[in-house]
Amino acid sequence: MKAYIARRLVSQALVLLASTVVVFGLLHLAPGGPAKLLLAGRPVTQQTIDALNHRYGLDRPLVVQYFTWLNHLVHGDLGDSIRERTPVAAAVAPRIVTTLELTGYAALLMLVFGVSLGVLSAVYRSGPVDVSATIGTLTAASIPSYVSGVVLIVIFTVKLPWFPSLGTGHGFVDSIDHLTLPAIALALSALALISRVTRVAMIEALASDAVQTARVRGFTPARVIFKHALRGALIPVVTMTGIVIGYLLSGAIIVEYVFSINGVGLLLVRSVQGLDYAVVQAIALVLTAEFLFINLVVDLLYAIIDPRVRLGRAVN
Amino acid sequence: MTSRRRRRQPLALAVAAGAVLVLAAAGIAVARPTATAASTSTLTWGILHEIQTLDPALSYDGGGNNMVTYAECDSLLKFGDNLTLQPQLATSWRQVNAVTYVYNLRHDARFWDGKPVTAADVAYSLNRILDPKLASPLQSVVPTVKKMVVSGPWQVTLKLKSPDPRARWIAALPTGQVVEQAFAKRAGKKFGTTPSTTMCAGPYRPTSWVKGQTVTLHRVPSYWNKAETPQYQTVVFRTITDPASMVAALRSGQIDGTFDLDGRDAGTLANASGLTVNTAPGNQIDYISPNLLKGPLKDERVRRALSLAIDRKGLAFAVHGKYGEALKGPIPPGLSVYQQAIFNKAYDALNLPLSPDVAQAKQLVAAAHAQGETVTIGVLASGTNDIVGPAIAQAGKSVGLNVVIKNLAPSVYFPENFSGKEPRTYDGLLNFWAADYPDPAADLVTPFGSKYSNVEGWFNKGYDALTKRYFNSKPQSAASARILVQMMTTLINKTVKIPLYVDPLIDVRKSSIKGYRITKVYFYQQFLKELHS
Repeated sequence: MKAYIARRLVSQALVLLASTVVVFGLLHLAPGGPAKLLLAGRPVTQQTIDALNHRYGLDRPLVVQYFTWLNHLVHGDLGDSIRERTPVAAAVAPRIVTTLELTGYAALLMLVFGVSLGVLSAVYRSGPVDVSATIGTLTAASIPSYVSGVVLIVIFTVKLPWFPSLGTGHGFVDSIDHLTLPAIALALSALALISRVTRVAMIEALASDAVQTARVRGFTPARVIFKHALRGALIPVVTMTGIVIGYLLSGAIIVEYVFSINGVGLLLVRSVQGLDYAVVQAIALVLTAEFLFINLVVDLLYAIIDPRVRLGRAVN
Repeated sequence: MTSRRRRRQPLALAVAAGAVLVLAAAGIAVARPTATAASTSTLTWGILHEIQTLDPALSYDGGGNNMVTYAECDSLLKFGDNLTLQPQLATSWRQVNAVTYVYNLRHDARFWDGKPVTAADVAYSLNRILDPKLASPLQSVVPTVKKMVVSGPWQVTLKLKSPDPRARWIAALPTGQVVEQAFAKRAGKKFGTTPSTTMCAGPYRPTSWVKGQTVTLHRVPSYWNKAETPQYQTVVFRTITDPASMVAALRSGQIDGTFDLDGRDAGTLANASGLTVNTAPGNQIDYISPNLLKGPLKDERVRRALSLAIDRKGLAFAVHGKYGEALKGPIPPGLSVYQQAIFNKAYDALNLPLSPDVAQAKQLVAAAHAQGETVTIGVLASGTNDIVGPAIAQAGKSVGLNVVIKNLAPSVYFPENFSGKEPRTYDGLLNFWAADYPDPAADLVTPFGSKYSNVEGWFNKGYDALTKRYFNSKPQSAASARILVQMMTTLINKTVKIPLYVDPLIDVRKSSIKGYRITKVYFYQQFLKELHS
């Protein structure tokens, strides 16, 4: 296991490095420069624009700019935000935490309700529960996050003042209060996927010999479902969860916009628009690392869920 | 236990769990205090864009950021009633000659740390904007300023490189806001990046800044101007990026007011309980910048034809509902605070109808042999321009021009707009401009002063001669006004700009909040001083 993890970390570092080159290159393909955008096109002197470009190293060749950035990165310096005129770390760090809280909460909702609905659909297959769950989740999946966000705000903030519609709150309970609606808006579209995958996997698991044996032995339905069938159905669910969490991270941008949450998604959009190179590179780096980490965790979970799985070995 | 009862166990568990969740949410709702009544100690104000800086020298967005920096930093002069210049940190001022303005300072103004506001602080505050190393966008407001010097213990003198009647406004704009020199020098690049690295002399002081979300200001107990102490002890500027969310926040009482809604959104709140919508003629104009250096719009007849084909009244209504105002000139009507009779009469006399004149437009297209010509107009991708773009395309088609609208993402639109390239890439750009001060010169002189803002590529010796005469004219005189009128008329007669509509000023707030009437330069006024519950 340790050797496997070590090999994966090395390969992930290489993937991260490659992603920085791609992001850097794509960013600099965009027309214009951040200096003029920062100065909002106002008629300032060429001297001012030159001073701004020099301050952020934008007057150097691209290759020099990239390796300078890389050198700083290795020493823990992510550079300075051109838009905010502060270190990138100060701009990005609090927002990453916010986005992680939001996507984590959404992932929890997605898993709890998605898996629950999938289990219920499989157990009461073809019955009213199954049909209702299918219709409900597919309807939720077809509604874009922006629309569901606005509808949730209108219903649960304006009509029924159950939740706040803005910001992230302070402290644990207040944060949960503020992030509930955004997390629901984010989770709704992914919920159907998890529900359907769980349903299919559970149906297969419920028909397996091991589950039949458990039934014959007189175990309670709850024990049969949750201890015997669900465990066997988890592998595809975990796989899909890993993929969907990556989707949640990107989908967070829209939800952050609707609910005015100062997450990394909105910052990324604004930084791309403003050609704030250092911020975009830092966010891309962090999101790529997160995605790679999630994939690693998913692979490790396989071995925990099913001891028969041997990581890193070819399938016989 | 029967098998059917056993099968229902999971369903029963699920129903019970769901009931617990609903009861918990309802409990939270009952416990939440209603947010419909306005507090008398805390004001929460909604803004559309996030705050970038607390440094007044770097704050130039004509919106939320300026509102924050004006709450925290007093300026030499201020915009008073009817937008005339009034004393603030300066008790009096005079123009000595065409290139010299003198300001006498009050002796009792204090920064938040208790230190006096001195002539050295005032001079430093403006001179740092002139320093290229700071890269202040406010440089564009002071192109003719040489420097500010200390000319007495409580006196500063503004020296210009050349005569410029626009210079009289500098003291009331962000360029006139004063910071503490010693503090700013110690803070260096960090000045204005956090509440603790900011030092001004205004009625409010920032105490908390959650980036991208809120800036919280607290009233300064020792504020030097006792006669203008604001009522609200705490003010929270909250960034709400989505207009629909802003409307919801107003309806639910989570914010007390905003100036950042457009006419259509404000219209949905006109009959909302507990809210008041006030409007006033706006400052920001929307227009097409035709490319005068290449393409079909290089021909004046084609420009004029496209301009005549546009239904300005219809566009204004489509964008801003009943608050929309069609525009027929390169300045918004009622902009000027001086010689208003001259400007109003000239604006009314401009030779551009607000309703389309398709027949004449077709004649012009035929005369220019431009039937079927493709005109590509770049448009900033936005909800509003999803209405405006097709309307312009349709107008062009109605007179025989194949107008193609190119929706441009901000990362493409703004570099194109500000590129300084001569000519620009597209045949036209849907553009907007807001005057910094209540003077038509802001719309008639400033945009053509630099290649970065001269989007049209307008180079005309006659216009340059008028500009030179304006610079040498007596500020706010009838002669000066007439020169500006000639410039305005030229821009319309030559169709240098194709005006469309004015964005109205919108003020939506809880009905219990009184005071302050929104003006064209609200973002450069300390409106918080006048608001009260």
